[in-house]
Amino acid sequence: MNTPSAGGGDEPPPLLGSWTMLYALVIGALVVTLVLLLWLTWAFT
Amino acid sequence: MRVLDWTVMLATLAGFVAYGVWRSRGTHDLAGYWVAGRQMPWPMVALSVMATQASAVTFLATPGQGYVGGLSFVQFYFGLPIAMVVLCMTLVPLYQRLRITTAYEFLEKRFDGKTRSLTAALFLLQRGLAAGITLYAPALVLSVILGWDLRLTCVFMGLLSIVYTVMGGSRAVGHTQALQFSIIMGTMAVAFVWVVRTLPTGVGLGDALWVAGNAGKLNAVDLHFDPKSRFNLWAGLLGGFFLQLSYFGTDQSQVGRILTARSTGESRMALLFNGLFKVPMQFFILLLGVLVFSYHQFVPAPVFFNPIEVARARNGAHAAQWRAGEAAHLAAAAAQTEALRARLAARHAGDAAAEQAAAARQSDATAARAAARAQAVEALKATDPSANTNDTNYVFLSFVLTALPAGIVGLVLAAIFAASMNSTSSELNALASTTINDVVRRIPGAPTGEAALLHWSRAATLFWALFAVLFAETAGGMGSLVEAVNILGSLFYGTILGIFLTGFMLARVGGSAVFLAAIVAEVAVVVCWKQDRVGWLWFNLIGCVLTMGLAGLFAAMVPRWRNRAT
Repeated sequence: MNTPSAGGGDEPPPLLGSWTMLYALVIGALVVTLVLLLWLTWAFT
Repeated sequence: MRVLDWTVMLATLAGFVAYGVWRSRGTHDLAGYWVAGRQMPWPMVALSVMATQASAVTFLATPGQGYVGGLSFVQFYFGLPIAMVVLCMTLVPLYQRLRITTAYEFLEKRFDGKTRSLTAALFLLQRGLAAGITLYAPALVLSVILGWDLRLTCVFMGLLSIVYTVMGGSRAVGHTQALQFSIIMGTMAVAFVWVVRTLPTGVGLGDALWVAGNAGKLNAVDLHFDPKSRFNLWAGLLGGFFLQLSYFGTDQSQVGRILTARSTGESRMALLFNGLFKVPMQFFILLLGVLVFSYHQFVPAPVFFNPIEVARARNGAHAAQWRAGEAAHLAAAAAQTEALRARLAARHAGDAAAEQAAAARQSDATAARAAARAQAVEALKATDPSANTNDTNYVFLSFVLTALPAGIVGLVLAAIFAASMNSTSSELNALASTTINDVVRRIPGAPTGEAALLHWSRAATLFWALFAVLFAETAGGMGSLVEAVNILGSLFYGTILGIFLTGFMLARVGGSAVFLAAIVAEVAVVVCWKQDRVGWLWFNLIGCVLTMGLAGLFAAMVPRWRNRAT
């Protein structure tokens, strides 16, 4: 069975131009969320 | 409940059912019934995906978890965004390219019929039971808080989603979920604003957070690695990643949603939307519970939130002990509020000495309050040794009924019923499509025509709905409701994910190798659960790694168990 390429399908995403950029946005948002929650934990506890 | 609340709740629910029935029209073929004709735009799919995961338990028990345990539960979702990205890069394009209807079809193409059947059976077992819990869990809480009959509440909740799910299948489910989830989110936002508004005069959001932080409720991230700990950063990132990867990539109730999208790109957009907004959504629902905690530092909370247990204790053989605990709790709460107000005033005035003195008084009063509650809980247990002493799931509704205005209460209750409809309808549609596509169609002599299969699909949906309602009627004593659902999933998800990842990543492994590996791994996971040595989030990792490792080992040891197509 062939596996698809990591970049994925043929169609571009409706924003940011490439799927790689969108994936980076989601992971980046997770990192920012983690940092904010760490700050919240540290600042209020 | 007031007349306005009843009116708002019943009108909203009737509107949801009517919308679902209206959306059922035009479902005349199997593709429409199973995957909405693969015609849904990504924003609808995204809402449908989020609605499927967010059951009524999410909106009942999660604020309660925030009240009792603070924000730590948010860590459970940390692996989700990473899982969404991995799925977008791997299984989503594969599923869309193969034009499959259920996830388990892929396994027959890659391995053999028995591996497809085993995985479909694991799914039907796990999801069939989970559908019962999805109905039972909120029905239990609602029946206790509202004084309704539990059995009738289960039936009522089941009936709400049965009509349009049986008639319209995936298309009706997807459209109704998108509408319901938007309204649920709006309602939770209103509830959030109202919690802040109900804080006493002179106490702002910053003060409420400071109060919660002092009580250790803003503990969103725990960096310590402890395999027995349920919620920490590492369990969330690793265990949570495998759980979410399995849930969204191999559980038909989610795969069925993802496959309704028009294309690979639209499926991806739906998952990435979920990856972006799921963690913040859970954070705000938990924060709602944390703010209810802060509210009850100024406005006395009941000593125990489950009114049925309270009524038993008040009228039982240990009523005197209960009343003493209740009175002591009220007195300690008043002392605590007085000390807290003094502490806040000193803090605002910059008077460190006065703040320190007030903090000491507050600490004493908090300890007295905890002791009084413990005394009351002892009275509960003495009255009825089988009494459920965990009242976490009753915290939020208790607050809603006592602190929110008429109309909003009805809306919140409608939102909770709608959340139950959301997850139940997806589950029923997935159970029916798997039953027909992966079981019935494979039986020699089974019906093959489109009309007959559509008829059988509707019958299967009805069967699973009745199964869920009957299971809900007989369920009981499941402890924390959120955990019951997730532990049940974690017992199976790791193994199922291991089968899929083996198919995707280990090209040399054949059907018999992965079949045997999956059985051994599942037994090992059940043994881990029984021995209670590791937190349940780790079951997902253990099941997945064992399945993949053993499948690779078996294929290496037995040449005829290797994939001959490679």
